[in-house]
Amino acid sequence: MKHLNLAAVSLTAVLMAGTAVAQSYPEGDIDLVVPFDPGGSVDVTSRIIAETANTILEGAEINVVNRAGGGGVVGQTTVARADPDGYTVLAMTSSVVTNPQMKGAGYAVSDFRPVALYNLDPEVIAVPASSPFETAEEFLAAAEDETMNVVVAGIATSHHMSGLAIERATGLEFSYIPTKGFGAQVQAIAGGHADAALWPLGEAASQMGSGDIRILAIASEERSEDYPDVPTFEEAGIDIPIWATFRGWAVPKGTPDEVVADLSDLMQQVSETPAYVEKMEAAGYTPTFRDSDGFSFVVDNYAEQTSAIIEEAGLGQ
Amino acid sequence: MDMILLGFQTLADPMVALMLLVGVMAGMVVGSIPGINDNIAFAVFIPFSFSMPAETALALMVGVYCAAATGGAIPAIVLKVPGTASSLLTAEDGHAMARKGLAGRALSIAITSSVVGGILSSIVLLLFAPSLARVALEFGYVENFALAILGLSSVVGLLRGNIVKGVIAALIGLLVATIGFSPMTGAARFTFGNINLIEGIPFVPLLVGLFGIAAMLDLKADVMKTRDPDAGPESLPKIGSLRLPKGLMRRLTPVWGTSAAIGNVIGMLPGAGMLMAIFLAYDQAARRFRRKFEGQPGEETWGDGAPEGVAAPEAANNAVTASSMVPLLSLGIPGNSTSALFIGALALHGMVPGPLLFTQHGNVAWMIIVSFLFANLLLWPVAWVVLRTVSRSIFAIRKEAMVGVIAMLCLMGAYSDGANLFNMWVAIAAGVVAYVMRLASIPLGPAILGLVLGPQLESSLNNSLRISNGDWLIFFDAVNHPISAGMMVASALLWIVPAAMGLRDRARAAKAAAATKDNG
Amino acid sequence: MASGFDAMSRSYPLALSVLLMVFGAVLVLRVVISQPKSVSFSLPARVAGLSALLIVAWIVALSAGLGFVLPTLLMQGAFLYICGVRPPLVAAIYAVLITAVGYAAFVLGLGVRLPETLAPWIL
Repeated sequence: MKHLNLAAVSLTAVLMAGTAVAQSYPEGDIDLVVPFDPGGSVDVTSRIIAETANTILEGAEINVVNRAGGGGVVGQTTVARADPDGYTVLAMTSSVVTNPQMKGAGYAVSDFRPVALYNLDPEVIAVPASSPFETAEEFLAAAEDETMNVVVAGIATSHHMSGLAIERATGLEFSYIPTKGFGAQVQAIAGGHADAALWPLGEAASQMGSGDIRILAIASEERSEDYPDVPTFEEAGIDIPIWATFRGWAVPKGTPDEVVADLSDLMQQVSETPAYVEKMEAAGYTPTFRDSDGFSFVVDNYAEQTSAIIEEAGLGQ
Repeated sequence: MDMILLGFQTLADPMVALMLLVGVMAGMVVGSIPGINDNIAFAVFIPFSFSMPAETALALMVGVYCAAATGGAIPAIVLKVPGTASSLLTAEDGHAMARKGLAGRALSIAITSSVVGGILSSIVLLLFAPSLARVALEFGYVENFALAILGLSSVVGLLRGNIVKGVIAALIGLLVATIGFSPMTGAARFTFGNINLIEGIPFVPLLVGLFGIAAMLDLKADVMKTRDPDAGPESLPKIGSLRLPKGLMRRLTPVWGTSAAIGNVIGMLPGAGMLMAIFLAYDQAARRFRRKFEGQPGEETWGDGAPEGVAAPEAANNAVTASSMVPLLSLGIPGNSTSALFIGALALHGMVPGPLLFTQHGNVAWMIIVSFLFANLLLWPVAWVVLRTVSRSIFAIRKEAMVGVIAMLCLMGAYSDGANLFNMWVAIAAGVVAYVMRLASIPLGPAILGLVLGPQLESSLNNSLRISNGDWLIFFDAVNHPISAGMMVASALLWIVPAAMGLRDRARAAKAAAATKDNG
Repeated sequence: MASGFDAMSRSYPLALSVLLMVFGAVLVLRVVISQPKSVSFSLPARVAGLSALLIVAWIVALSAGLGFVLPTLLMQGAFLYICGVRPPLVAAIYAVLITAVGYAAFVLGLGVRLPETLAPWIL
């Protein structure tokens, strides 16, 4: 079936080529490499984007390709070494920034050229509903007297580093409870087995209806529209204006400017499609858009934040 | 009640119902092909499911999930090659029965047990899903550690006189599970600089190697051993009659009850998984069999064709399928790695499992629950059709040709999980290791349990100690952690009781010997 | 990378290794004391060695970009030969059938992406 479609598409492509000579890119199908297994957050968002993008693209198709392994490093390396022609695009996440230092990945962040950003997920502090701490201030004050057990997705993950950043900003010290998998982390917090958790807002939101958890603060510049009562980190007295994991597109460095611009425009068109916005929100992700320069700024900023922490905490390998 | 009806209504859509049937058929076939399991099937299917309506895609997945656990028993019985990890134990008594010309009966027991276990757990899911899900929240790090210990202890009953080798196997499994990230510091352990090992040895190809490739080597040795240049092509055991005598049904009923109960409880506990359930159920059934049947005229010995040895694991593994959805649907906490894939499938359709699912997408949530019931009802007729058609034609292939086919299926199956060539190397290496272990008669079961429970054991131990400030007694604290203390006692009993009974038997034998001496 | 990690992450695997050594020693002692009959492992060793070799060659061929069809055809043929399927024509037919079904199922049916080949026309 898929191949029939492909045949049809390539046939249209041939026909289109005759009429639209001016548009040279994309001439063929684009591989969007997801360096994780199907069904994860990067895969889900990439497929929603590809679906919308394919209604916009004419004569070409975006294919989502899963290249899993090594916590994303395998797929990321594939793209770093691919031809810089715009036909291999990486679904880029924050881990690209830290993997060379943390996991000994063979590429550098500079091997990629950010194309466009589509999702920023700010960090939140979540506590069990049964927790005695009603506000972030109460939590921080209590943390001065006794060490809090804070659940994070794993040591040296972006969430652990956000904890280290809070330590740096407040002079507190946490005891980290690394817990793999969001489900297991929910189990620990909703069941009241730890004091707090550092979560991305997108995932935390999926648990908000249960009455088992409460979020105390969000690490973004402005309050979230969905949770207007929850203060930002700065309002809560943590001097971190923003801490967010990001999702976007990147291509190998050396990709021509026009191609990057074309891809960025495509993403912009996608982000303005109402059906896409609806789907992303239903899946728990707030769609956003920043072009190549905007995305580069986010990446550089994140790299700056993390590299200092990695060095200070001696996390690198 | 209205919501349950809504679930039935959603499922009554002919397209959705048809997809459930297709899923059950596909799952049965996927399960019965060594080297391909439901994990791999989902990895390949989830991308496809994106273009389908949510109801049809999820109905299909439920069908595959339920039926794969049953289908795995088919090659386990006929070839002694477990089609999935969940039929690891079925291969022992099941294949022994097949060798005695009772392949049909063994298959029939396997399928009936699956249906019974599956239906019982579907009913539990249907009636108690939201309330039972709270049980999962009672399990913190301390309880998870005790659960892992209980799981590892469940193999003791299986070892009988081979305790040393069993413990060695479990230790090997636990050690291999430490490859990759250290949970405490994030340091890479035993990866030898290989990026592919950073998150541990990829699990799906590892399983494929341990079962598929190892069994392929076994089959090949068998073919070469029995090869006679004059003989014609060797065929596999005939399936024969599928009828189950009434007496046998009556005899197996208590086993089904116990095994389904074990499967239900274990399924609901995150991190325990199907393997632990089949080991615990098998252990229980073995104790019962030795007490009531062993040594009686006309009875087989345990491990050599006892019907309970097929019924217990098969009832338990299907009971796990539905109950693993209990914490998943209402809390978003997956019961095992396969049910975790439902999170991805739901997310692709804009649904997030968790407390909001039932209020926002009640029709789909209840449809999934109702589908489990119907999928299990469909198992028997579908199994019958698959056995008569697909399996019959597969098993008509010469055994000699089977070897290469299984090798290809395993390697390609391992590869398709992430399209990574490294997976193939994992599969072949794991296969050779498992084969060598079998030659040395080191049991594979404890090693796999060690692999599955290892990460949980280490991280829950460390996290518990971090919370208790290094106090080891926290696991036995009957006031604050009664569940943990109880499981620790149960684990201890699993070790002590067989040892004590062994000593008693030895003492009795010595007394009897002394008595005969006196008389003589 | 194999052992140069921190002490905190080492204690658990170290404890396991010590236990493994103890039980291993018990096993060795047992064998020495009871002196069981020795069993020949020549057949199993040949089986495992040959099959592993074939499979390794296949994986290498696949990684090297020789495509799926040719390596699989050769691997299946070799397996059939070793397993004693004799008239070469019969073995060849079987091998072609298995390869075709494998390609149809995985590549066409399930859309599995094979490793890149040396030339685009190699299947």
